[in-house]
Amino acid sequence: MSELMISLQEGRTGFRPGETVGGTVSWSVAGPPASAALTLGWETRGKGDTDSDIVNKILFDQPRAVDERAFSITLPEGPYSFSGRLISLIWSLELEVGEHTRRLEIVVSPTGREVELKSVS
Amino acid sequence: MGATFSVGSRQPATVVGRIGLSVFFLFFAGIGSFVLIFLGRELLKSAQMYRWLRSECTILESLVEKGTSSGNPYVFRVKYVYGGDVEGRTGTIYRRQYRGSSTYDDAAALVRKYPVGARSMCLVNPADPGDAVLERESLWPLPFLLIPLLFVGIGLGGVYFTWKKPSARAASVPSPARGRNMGAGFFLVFALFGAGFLIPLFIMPAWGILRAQNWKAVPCTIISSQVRTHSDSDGSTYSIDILYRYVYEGKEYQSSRYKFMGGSSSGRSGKQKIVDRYRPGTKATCYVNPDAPYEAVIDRGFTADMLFGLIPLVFVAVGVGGFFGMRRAAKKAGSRGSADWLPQVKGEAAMTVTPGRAGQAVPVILKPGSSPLAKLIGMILIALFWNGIVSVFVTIAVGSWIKGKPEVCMSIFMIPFVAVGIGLLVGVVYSFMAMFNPRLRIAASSTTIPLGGTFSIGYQFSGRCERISRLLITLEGREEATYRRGTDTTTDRSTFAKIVLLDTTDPPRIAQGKAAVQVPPESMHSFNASHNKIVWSLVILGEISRWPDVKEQYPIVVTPGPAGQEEAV
Repeated sequence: MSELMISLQEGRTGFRPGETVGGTVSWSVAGPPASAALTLGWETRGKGDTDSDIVNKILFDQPRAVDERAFSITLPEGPYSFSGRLISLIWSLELEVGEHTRRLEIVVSPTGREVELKSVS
Repeated sequence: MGATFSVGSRQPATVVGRIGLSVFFLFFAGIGSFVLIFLGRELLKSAQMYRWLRSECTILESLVEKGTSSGNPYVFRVKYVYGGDVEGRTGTIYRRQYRGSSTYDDAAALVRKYPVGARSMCLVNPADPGDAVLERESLWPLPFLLIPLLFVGIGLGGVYFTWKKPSARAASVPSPARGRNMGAGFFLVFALFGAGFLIPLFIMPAWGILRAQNWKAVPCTIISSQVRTHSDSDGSTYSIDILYRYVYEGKEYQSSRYKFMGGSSSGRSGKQKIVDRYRPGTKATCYVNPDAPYEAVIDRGFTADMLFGLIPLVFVAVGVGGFFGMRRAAKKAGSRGSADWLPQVKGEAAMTVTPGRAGQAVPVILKPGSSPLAKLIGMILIALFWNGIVSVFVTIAVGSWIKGKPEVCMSIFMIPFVAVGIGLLVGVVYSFMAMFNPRLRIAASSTTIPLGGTFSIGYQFSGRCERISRLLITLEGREEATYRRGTDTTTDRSTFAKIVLLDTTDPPRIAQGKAAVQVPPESMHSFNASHNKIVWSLVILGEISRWPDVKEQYPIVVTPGPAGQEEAV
């Protein structure tokens, strides 16, 4: 039984561009994993084929089977999280421990809320 | 420390779906393997001849005979002795797969290459010294092995990636430059493919015609003439075969070249009329190359059927245009900085407006997404490409009606394709008419505006702008999502912002003026990834009654971040 967790300071999931995201990651897996890393990236969802990008990756040295690490990542200026009729752009933090993964979606925009795009004729 | 969150992973494809995909890819690989083995075996046989021993030989007999094959009626017959005087053996094979030549001239060229009494080198099978040839098979088809190999690679690769465990996060960092370089490679292959057909179908015949303009007119006598029929599962095609003799500087020659455009095509009656004009025993005028008198032709003019040879030019034009377009796009994409999700726009520093203060945006003259001339050229190329292909089938269909054996199903099937072709021709006319529209010169405070910033423009029409009855200028933001559906790539668009800068019917205001608008601060900035985009553009619509409207789009980049003070234009 494996357990992976991503915990953010103050439980926030909405951030402004350029802001620093801090928190801890913890995991409990069967044996010492070969690698453990936290990535920050975005991907698109919706009608179009998926585009994605990894903008930051933190590698945790000598991970143990049961471990907890603190992290701090500065967000870039964009792209903003948005949702329209055809496209949504989702930011997320993803913890990879060996073959196990856990993912946490966050919002990056000046208001801390997803930019909503409504269709006009 | 706050709450803990967890998010589910991406949903995998179903097993049934993967099996279906695997069957498809295995079928793909199977076709490639079949062709690969077939081609490979033939090439292997040819390659093995490179181990045969070279032996001196003497040509005993060398002549052209008329054979029975419809495709290769002229056969080079040769007899040679090889292996020295003591154990001399006789060979009669020129090349293992040689079955004859399509023209007398090709076979006669071999007679000239191997004249009676000449000493040459032949190749002897070390395992069977009685087996010899004058020439071995060429290995030039070797590069063609890449085509079935590509099928096999795609098939096996497809199976591998269908079952490969996906990584936790899609590691496919968008790389527009790499994608565009691959696109450039595709267009290059497209152009080479077109050139591969253009050279033999048009350039070579045209070059022959140009050369023949200086050849000597010589009387010649027709030896034989007939229309040859070439039949296969797709039907029959026909070719002219006229063999004639002529004397040049006291020496007699023969040739079967009627014109420089060789090969066979549909339509027998036209060819029969020509053959009827050149009955055996009649006299005619042929044109002889004074530098190589064995080279002659009866008709040295351009003929209508040569226009078909220009069809591959469309492939060359599309390929070359696409190649340079993709290379340019790749160069731009490769030179972008870390924020490569922001697009770039065209524009040049304005010479007629006041530059902005230091540190602020500099006014620029906007360039439209595509010029009227580019639109016209694009429409012409598309219309040529489409109608060029459709015309081949229309010719067959019309011909069938003329002959009284109508291809009814084919004719009905062609109707929608012809309709699209006519639509494209109308598009060409429309684009041509639009070339004469009043031209717009437009300067903007900047092509890069932050969210919440003010976007201001100054514009001026040249030409007959009094024909424009209404001018509408809007700043528009839209989503563009590109996706594959089967083998088609489709882009859907949805406009999310439409902000009017100007809407007027006042002629002086139409002719020139200024306008400004604030970009909504809570909207979305420009975004440019491989398949998904947020596109902002300035859209100009000038309505002209009974004439194509003025329609222009100027891409604008809306950046994230706080709005600064923009310089008014």
